[in-house]
Amino acid sequence: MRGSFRRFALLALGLVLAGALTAAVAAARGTKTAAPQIKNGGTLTIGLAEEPDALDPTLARTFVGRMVFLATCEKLYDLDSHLNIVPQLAAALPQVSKDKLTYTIKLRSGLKFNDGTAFDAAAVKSTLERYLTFKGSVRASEISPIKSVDAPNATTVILHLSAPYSPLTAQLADRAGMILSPKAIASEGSSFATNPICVGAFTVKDRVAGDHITLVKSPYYYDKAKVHLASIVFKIMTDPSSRTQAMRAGDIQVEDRIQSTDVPTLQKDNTVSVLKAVTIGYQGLTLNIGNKKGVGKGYANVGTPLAKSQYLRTAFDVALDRTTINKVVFGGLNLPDCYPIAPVSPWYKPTTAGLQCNLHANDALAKSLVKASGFDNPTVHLMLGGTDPVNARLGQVIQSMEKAVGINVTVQPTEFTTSLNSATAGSFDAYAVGWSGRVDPDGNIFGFVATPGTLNYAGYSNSKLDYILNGARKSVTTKARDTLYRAAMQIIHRDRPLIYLYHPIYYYAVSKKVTGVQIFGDGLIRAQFAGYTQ
Amino acid sequence: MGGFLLRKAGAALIVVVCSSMIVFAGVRALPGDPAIALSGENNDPAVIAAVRQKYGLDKPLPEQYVKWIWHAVQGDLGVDSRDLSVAHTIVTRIPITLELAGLSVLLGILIGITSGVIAAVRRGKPSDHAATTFALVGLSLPHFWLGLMMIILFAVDLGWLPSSGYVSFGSSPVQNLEHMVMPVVVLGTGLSAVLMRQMRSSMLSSLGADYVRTARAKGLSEVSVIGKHALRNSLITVTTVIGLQLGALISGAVITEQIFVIPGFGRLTLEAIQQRDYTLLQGVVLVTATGYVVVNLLVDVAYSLLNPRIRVTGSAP
Repeated sequence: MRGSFRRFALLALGLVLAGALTAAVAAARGTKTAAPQIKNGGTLTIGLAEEPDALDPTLARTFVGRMVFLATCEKLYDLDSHLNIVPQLAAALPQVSKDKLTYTIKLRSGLKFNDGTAFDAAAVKSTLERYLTFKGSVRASEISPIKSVDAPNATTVILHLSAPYSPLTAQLADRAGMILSPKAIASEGSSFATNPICVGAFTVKDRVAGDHITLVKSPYYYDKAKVHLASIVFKIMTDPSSRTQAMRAGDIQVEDRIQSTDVPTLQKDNTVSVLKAVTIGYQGLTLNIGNKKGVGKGYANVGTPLAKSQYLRTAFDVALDRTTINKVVFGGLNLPDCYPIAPVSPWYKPTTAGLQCNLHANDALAKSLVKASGFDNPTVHLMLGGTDPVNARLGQVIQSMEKAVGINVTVQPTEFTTSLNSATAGSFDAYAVGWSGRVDPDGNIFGFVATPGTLNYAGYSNSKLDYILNGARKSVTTKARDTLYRAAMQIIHRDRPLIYLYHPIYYYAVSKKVTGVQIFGDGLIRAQFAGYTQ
Repeated sequence: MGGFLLRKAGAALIVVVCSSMIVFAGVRALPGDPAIALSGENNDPAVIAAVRQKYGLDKPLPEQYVKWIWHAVQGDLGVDSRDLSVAHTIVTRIPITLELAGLSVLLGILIGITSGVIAAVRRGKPSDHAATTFALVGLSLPHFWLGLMMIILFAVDLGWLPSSGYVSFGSSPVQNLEHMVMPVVVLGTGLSAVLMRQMRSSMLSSLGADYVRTARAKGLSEVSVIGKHALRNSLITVTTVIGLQLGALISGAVITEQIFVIPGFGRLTLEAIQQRDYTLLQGVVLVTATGYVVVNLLVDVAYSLLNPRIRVTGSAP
């Protein structure tokens, strides 16, 4: 009797435990899978910080323009959330020939442009040829190694290159990979920007210059089921305070790049989610070493203490406390670092391995380096690429840090476009300016430090570095490129034509009524598959 | 009359031509190469050269000017950096600023004149002190601060009004007014303060004048004395002040449009300067200058109709 009671008790206990476990698992599953239900329809209004320029990928230059294109103009390749290149209109990554001069791209079939015409290899060919030959094309230099394009059948494109060029796939994952409707090109010609037609989840309905761009859901999109919104409005709101207040009032549902002083306010707002993205861009100081006559016009040492002495350049860097700069100037909202490639990039770890990034100042070392340079109380003219209070604060903080080690810094706040002119002409000692960043390391390095680089404001010329960077452009395997960029980083870190300070972290606000808005390391707002929660 | 009009129109034409030259030269005197500003981040020499060629910046200045003015007289002000027609953009922006400025003037007149009259009639009493304080506050508050405070109160906290943007009267009259309330109050507050002070001062002067004393002695009612005699005379000075304040109102509209994200003419000017968009900026400034010249011409014509001696002597005695 006692034995059967014990068996009954054990059975009962077992059932209770099993029941509890089942309930717990179900509850846990419920928590995990309780994704918000998205309803179809509605308009999403995005407050943009700047106004996009021409809505023709052939001519487009602005960062915000790329946000509009994400919803309207798909590319051969795209980025995933880890910034890896993945096929979008292409069916797979390109097959590269052994001599690295032929790229074969297989395309997806059955896709349509937003005018109802078929997307095929002929359209890819005509678009790439337009990019290469159109007068004023901004894309031409990005894909200049393409010698010719063949379209042997509707789903195959073959690119013939004049020289090996590894960054090509990354270029095709940006505006150079956006494919335009041949019918629209023929009918619109040079006015394509007024009625841009590509393959995209949305198509441009209207644009009121300086006010808004309205997109409406495309009836031709191949993945319509994933598109929930009826329309997206990009509202141009250049004043950051107005943008934030519009977000708080619910007049916009997504706010582009919140100014640092507004981040805490929006974080406290329970109707808004604040998203952040460590970007692939950087802010740095370009040191003029050899830019006497202008960028691309032959480099020779400019003769300033900073240009003459590598010790002094190192001292200038070592005296900077990146952590303090971030705290004092940006309220701790950026990511201090010492490299042109950001930690969010898959290239970061392999290319910076073995290098030492000093986030804190080492005044003792800096003083000894100043002494070793042989220059007594050297003076450096620091040009700031802007006249806003943040730039002014950055200049003042750098000035005080350098003063502590015996380097006098005079700060010259300069309006941005004027500063670009001065930088190109070589009229500066040090220039505080940023770069929005590219997915491929080549885009963050070559232009700035290779001798033929168009952004080589430093006038830096090092044949060994040129050889390495050209080699990295020709190499196809990731391993080979890792090795070459690591070697390049070591040279840049030693010679310091640029001193990298931090990677910007962008903050965005999204209404809690909206789901599906994504921000990757490129800092672009991806809203084409977003929707309102039920 | 015909000769007078021809002389005035000829003079206006000369002023417009001179203005266009000053505009052209002034825009080019701005620091920073527009080709670099418009060619994107890469500083690609080929792109910079293409931008120069596209906007004709590679041609000698006189040639650029002649080409620009030749197209401008035909109504073609070129395309801006967005590849959009400058003339079309300007034509769509002007009515928005005119609506904002017009409503602000109306509000300014309504508040300023009413409170000015009350303050003068009830001199030294609490209502006078209240109106004077209002004027002081209205003159002291910067537009951007008042705008932001109003947005926080009425749009964010109370949710009564939209925080920003513009809806045309044609597409929705109610929404148009909802969007215009705060900008008009911000822009009209300063004007109403100026008008209140001017009105109060003029009314006090009129109320102490002999003809008002005579009117009272004749047994006219106080309403009649103030409304028919004192107010009418005081309005002459106030009307002049309103005219003078219009320029300041247009300048104020730049800030107000920026805060309330109104796609008006003021904001367009600011954007064109910031983006070094020469084509757009030239068009905007030329239209502004021509607008001033045309208004002045109309005023001259109006004076000549009101006072025929102007036609004969060229100026009022």
